[in-house]
Amino acid sequence: MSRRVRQVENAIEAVNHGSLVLGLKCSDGALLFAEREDQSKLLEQQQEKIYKIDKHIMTGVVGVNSDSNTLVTRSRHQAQGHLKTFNSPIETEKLVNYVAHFKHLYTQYGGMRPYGVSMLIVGYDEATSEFQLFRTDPAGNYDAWRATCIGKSEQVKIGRDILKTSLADGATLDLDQGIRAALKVLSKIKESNIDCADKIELATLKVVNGEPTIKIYTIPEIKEKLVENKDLFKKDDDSSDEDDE
Amino acid sequence: METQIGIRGDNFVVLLSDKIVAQSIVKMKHNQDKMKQLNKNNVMSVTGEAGDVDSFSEYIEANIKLFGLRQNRPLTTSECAYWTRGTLAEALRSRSPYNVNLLIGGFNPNTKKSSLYRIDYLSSICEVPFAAHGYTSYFAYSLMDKEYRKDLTKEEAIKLAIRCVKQLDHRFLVGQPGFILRVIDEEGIHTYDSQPILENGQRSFNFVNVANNVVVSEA
Repeated sequence: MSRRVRQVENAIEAVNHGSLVLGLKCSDGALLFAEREDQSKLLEQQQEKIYKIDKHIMTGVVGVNSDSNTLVTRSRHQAQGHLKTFNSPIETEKLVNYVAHFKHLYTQYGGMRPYGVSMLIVGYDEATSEFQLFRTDPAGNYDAWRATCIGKSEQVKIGRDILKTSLADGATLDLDQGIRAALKVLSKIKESNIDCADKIELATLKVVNGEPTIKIYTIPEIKEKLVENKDLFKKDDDSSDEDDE
Repeated sequence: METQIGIRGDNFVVLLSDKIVAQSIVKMKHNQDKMKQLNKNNVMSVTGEAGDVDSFSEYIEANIKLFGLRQNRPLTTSECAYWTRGTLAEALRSRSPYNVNLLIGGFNPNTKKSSLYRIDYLSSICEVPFAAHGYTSYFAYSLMDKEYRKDLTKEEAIKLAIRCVKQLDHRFLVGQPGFILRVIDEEGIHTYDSQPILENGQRSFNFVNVANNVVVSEA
């Protein structure tokens, strides 16, 4: 007899309606890319999809906003706690394991609602000198990826297809190519034009002078990237544009 | 009364301790190994109150092994030292503090560097080039101050430790019959046992590698 946890299925379903977050490991770093929910023009702009957890770890979230805030706060505490006890930055997988375990707990007892959040967690591990990309879901699963996206099912499908072609045959991209791949996904998932800088978020993780460095792009910086790749956003989309890469 | 010395080179650490277990004026045992191998590249030497030494070092040893299993990689020397310090500091502020003095030395296979940490019973922690605890420090520090160099080779470091031991034997009121010395380097942990020798009527020690019987002497 299969025992289904309805609450968890609902939570996963909620995530499958959230806006897209894309993560990608590149040869010289890793990046997170996110599309914001449509919102009022009166709202002050603020970071809402991509968060820095520690100097070497960041996350992109999809799902219930209040839930993700809690998880981000807890992750930050966990990272600092590790630094305090071991005097070394927390390993990405250790943090992911913690988050996943924490989410899993809420699927085990009655009277509690699971966390309606999926996360992509990107980090850099000093011990192995490697970048990592993990995904966690509301059930408490986690897995490692070279590139993936979470969010609306139709968009995820398009996103994964584009990433799959970009990374076919073990190819690796550098960060600039990675950003281009992300923007290509963006150009396919909605009728976006080049003026959508305030509707997306972008962050990269690199090693600069031996120190992992997270850069969260500001709207003008995103605009620059969009202009650099403006050929992806042709006005009349009917011409076939299966371009290079 | 216990002896504990550590000397760090660029890519190795030498730890030395005596082998006496004493109660009051009585030697209860004279071949006690006072070091714990925390993992493949880290060793901790412990002295202090008899019961505390055992329970604390076993607790630390087991936990560090557990962390290694959990994260699928052995802890680095720094991580071992800082976690141990934290545990000791927590106990210090409880009803049951541990009265132990520690040296933690090890080699990091990723950075190819070694490090040595000195932790005392009040949980102060220092990363140092050389260290000693207790009465030994009155005799050993002057010698190590004079003779320590950054580019010390393994053999020179062992010889320096032997000179410290010889000085102790010469000047310290409480004689100690034997010592264990460990070298931690890229290949792992090498154990040496002391062998007393008499030269010109004065006692000194040779150190014999337990695995292959290679002898290191002061000369």
